[in-house]
Amino acid sequence: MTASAGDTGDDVSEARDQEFTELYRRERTRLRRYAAMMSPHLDWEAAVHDAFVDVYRRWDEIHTSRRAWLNKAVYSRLVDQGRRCERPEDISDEFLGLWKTTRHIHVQRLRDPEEWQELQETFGAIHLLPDQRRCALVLRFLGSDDDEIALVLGVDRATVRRYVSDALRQVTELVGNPERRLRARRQRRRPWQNPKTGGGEE
Amino acid sequence: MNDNVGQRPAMPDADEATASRFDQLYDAICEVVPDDGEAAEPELARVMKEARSGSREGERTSEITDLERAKTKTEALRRKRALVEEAEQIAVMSIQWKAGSDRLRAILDEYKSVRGVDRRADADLWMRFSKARQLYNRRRGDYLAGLGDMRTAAKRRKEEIVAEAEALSESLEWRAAARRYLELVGEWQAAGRAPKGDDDELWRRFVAAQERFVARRSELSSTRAVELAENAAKKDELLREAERIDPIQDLSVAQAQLSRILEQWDQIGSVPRERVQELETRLDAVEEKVRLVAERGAAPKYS
Repeated sequence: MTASAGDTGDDVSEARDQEFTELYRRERTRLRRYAAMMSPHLDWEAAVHDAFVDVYRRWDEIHTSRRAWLNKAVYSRLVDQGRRCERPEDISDEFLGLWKTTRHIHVQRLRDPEEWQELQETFGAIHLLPDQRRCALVLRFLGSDDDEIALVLGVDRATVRRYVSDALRQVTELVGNPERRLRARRQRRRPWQNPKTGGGEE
Repeated sequence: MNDNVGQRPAMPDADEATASRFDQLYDAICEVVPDDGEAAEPELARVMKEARSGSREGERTSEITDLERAKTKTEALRRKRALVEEAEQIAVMSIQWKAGSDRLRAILDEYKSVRGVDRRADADLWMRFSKARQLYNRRRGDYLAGLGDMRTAAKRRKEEIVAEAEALSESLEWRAAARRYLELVGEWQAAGRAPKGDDDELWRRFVAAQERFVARRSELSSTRAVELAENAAKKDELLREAERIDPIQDLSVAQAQLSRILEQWDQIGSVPRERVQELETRLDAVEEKVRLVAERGAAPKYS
């Protein structure tokens, strides 16, 4: 009887390890890219590592999508890391100002200088987004659907669509087609579409 | 090996230029984070080892750790709140600008050294502390800006005080002048600080006026004492002469001598206060002796 129970326990553990290994191999690269895009200035590799450790420990408690749970764990860790850096006692305001304006993706510069510049601009535009919109945009970019992003951010699908749409619009305004940027600005000025900006009818 | 990352993603709703930027971004991120299949295996082993080693032990100690953490957090929050409240009090009340600034700096250092407060509470406290510092700096700035006017007014007032003190130094109303000097010292202190050089110079003049007054009074007092002693000696001499008068032998001569002595007595003037009683008693005795003889018309009976 005892031996039988022990065997059952070992089987369960083995099955869990097997499932976890498959999950790890399937999600690792995508998750690392997601973390690197979200916060290249933070220790994103540690965030991914900790998220996997955590998902293993809570394997039986996770009843939703494990992939979404992983995304959420990485997001939370990156946000925590960022906030720790911004605490007033840790660093000076001057350093914080410098740190906020110098987020770069560290790719090799063996490419066309113009292309490198454009890349940094795109990356900079993404990093000007608030945390939630940035997360929604990056997850969508890396192939997540509305449901999964909604689980990660704890919002509904309509909000996810709005986040992605707003984020894309903001990035486009900064780096997209100049004519489209102009149209977007004109559209924002229409008071009946954006009452917060005020102003009379055109 | 990984079908999750094999295909290039696309951003729907992005214009051509933005889509092109996102394509570049995807290439760059693939370059930074390549799909390194075999290299992931050692990392997988590390993840599983760490997860297994920590899972059971972590559960056992988690409750204790949580309690300790909560206790530390509460203590840190209490300490920071106390510091912020002190800073707010200094910001509103303090007029000891140097001491207040030093204390606020010390509070800032201590505030930074206290850790473990959760972020939201910490941010609120930091905001309060920051506002307290701003308020203090604004009050201090206002004070310093108004300091020039205050010092000019203080200088004007002190000049008036010095002028009065110098006038008083010539006064003969000793008691009233001395009382007024005491009042002027109080008014001097209430006037506040004049510019440093002027303040010292005015104080020097004030003290000099006081000293002049005191010196005059002392000098006059010593002269007067000598004069009174001389008067006392003269009156002594007159008394000795008066006590030799014998009205029984010749009343009219005695009365004439006494009249002359009394006249001289009045001309001599004052004597030291402590001798007045003695001298007047002796003179009264002589007068009484002459008066009794004159009233009875005969010599008194001495026992």
